[in-house]
Amino acid sequence: MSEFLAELIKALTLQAGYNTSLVLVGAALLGGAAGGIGVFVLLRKRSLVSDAISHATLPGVVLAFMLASYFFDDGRALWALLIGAAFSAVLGALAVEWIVRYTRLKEDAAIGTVLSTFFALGIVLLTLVQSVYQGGQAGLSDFILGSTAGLLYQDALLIAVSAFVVGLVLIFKFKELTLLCFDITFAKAQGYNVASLDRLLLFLLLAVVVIGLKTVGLVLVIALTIIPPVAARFWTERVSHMVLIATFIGALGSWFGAALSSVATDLPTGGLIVLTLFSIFLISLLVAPKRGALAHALRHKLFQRRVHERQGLLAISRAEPVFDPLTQKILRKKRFLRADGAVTEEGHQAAQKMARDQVLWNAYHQAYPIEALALEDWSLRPIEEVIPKDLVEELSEELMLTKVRLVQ
Amino acid sequence: MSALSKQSLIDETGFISSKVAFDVSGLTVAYDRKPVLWDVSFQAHSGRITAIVGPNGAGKSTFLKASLGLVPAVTGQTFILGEALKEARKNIAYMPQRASVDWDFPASALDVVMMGLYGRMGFLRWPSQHHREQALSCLDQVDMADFAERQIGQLSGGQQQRVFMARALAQEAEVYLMDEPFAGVDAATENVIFKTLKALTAEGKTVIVVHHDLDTVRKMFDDVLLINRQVIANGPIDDVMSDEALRRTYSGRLGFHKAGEPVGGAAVQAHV
Ligand SMILES: Nc1ncnc2c1ncn2[C@@H]1O[C@H](COP(=O)(O)OP(=O)(O)OP(=O)(O)O)[C@@H](O)[C@H]1O
Ligand SMILES: [Mg+2]
Repeated sequence: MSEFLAELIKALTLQAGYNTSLVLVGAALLGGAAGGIGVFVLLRKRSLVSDAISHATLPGVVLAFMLASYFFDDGRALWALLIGAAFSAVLGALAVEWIVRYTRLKEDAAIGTVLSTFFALGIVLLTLVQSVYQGGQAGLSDFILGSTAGLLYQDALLIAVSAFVVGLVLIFKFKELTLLCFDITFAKAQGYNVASLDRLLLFLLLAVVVIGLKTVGLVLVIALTIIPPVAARFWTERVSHMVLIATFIGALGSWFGAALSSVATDLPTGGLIVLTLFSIFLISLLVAPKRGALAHALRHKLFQRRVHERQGLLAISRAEPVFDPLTQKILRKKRFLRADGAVTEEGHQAAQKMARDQVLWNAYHQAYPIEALALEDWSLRPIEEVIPKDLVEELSEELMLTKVRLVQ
Repeated sequence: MSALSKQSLIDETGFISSKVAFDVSGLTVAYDRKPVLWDVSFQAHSGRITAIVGPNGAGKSTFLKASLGLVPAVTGQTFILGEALKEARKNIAYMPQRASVDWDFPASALDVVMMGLYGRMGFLRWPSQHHREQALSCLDQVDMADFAERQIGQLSGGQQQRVFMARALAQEAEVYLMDEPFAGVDAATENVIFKTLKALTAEGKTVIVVHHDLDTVRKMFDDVLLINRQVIANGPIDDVMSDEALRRTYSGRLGFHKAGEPVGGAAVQAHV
């Protein structure tokens, strides 16, 4: 076990030899590019289409292999396979578009049809190839599940160049892509060519899918464009930040996943990368400060306590009994109520204070309705903690509350 | 019709006080071969605020969209301050009847308003502090400055409407086209926004508003376009908004009984 860890750390820190380092850098660049472009694919609601695209690459890959082995005698020439993949992916995308436009089928049905048909064709062709070219097709099945074993310097270079191009486009076209995803009518009215923006987005996605095929495999490459943005969404409410975070998550997850696969050589790279990304997603889902599940639960709990405490104390100030069990529990914990339900001296004092606070909050709501609506903490926390002191004084003077002591 | 309106403008002030800023001619639009607008021509003048009035389904929204090329037109052209639509995009701010956006989008109210500035920001410019302040002041004009940092999905319907109004204001356009901006907005806000629009016309901008409330049209607007598939009337309110014209626009739906010659859109509608 510790040996495994030591190996993993060696790989992660690029000390496990030239080949492993090459794979890690390549995977991270690919993951980063996929995560960045994935944000816009997700926001444009194109994640499913991208799934169809990746599955549609298979028949192209196999056909390209057949052609290449016939004409060049080397079926595994990567560039030929990638061109084949891109070609049939474009066909797949066009098929989806065509079905949606000219039949009454909805997009999800069209995607399902195209995805499975292309994949089926690919599988049949693959089996054919395997029976004809025994041995020669060895690399082909890598395209389905991915492998980093044979990643060459040229492959890494190709990934780097593509990642660079994707990054450039994301920077230069950030505003346009944001408009496209958020409000397409507005983009059109402003004179942006939304059709060509859509094509640009699809092209970048295609580029990432095709160059990622061999490393991650066509079944999983699309996860690279989906999981990082979904995870990033937990951390931010801003598109620009989402792009940065998704790029970071994509790169980190791929780096780590590739390192894992270099140590556990018999496990598939694509699967390890995607599982790593999923772990990051899970962590984000749980611990992200604003939208994460834990933070959400915590905030809710806190909110509930505040409301119960306030309502309980207000009831006491009006000399009404407190019936709600949770309210009772909270007030008892704070020693405002005794075990038998009687109000303590502290309880009376706190109730007085809370009543005054509520009067001030109500006055504030009357005087500044819009600001009060915009406040998240209206009537939840003591008013002095939320709005400026001079405003509180002004309000209490207006209410002729004599001698307000702000700090107690 | 346009001759009439120009005539009236001259009468009113003694000279031609404003030029044609928004000029649509011969606009015909069909959805699936069903004509929705038939040969509509319309002119709006700079420095004036025009109401577009007509019953539900009259084609008011379609008119705005088609004049901006957002839905395909069979025939027709739009000129903005003498320029063809293509060259004049930056001079138009359009606010649709219903914003069809993803309400869960990672954007705050301020971010949305900032999008109104994108067109002027230019290639590779990122929003700066200056742009933020500009956007904030637009939010302030619709009383929404306090909500600047809220994610847009967490606003009420009326508040969302106001954010999109602020985005239109941020565009600093010459011609403002607004499709029922007051729908779902409370009276106080309507007042505030209306003052803002008036202020725009005082600067010589052109404001065109689809408006449903016949009672307030007379008080609030300078000119009117009465439309029901065809143009019924177009010109200064006092000149063209007669009971007769309204009857023809609403073809009996305002409580008048349909009598005499069936005209324009009413006739077509009766036969389709
Ligand atoms: N996308 C569409 N496809 C087919 N018909 C449409 C479409 N949009 C509108 N229509 C039809 O075109 C006509 C004009 O619609 P439009 O939305 O322009 O009316 P409007 O005057 O804005 O009405 P409202 O006052 O209800 O907003 C209506 O009869 C409507 O049914
Ligand atoms: Mg409408």
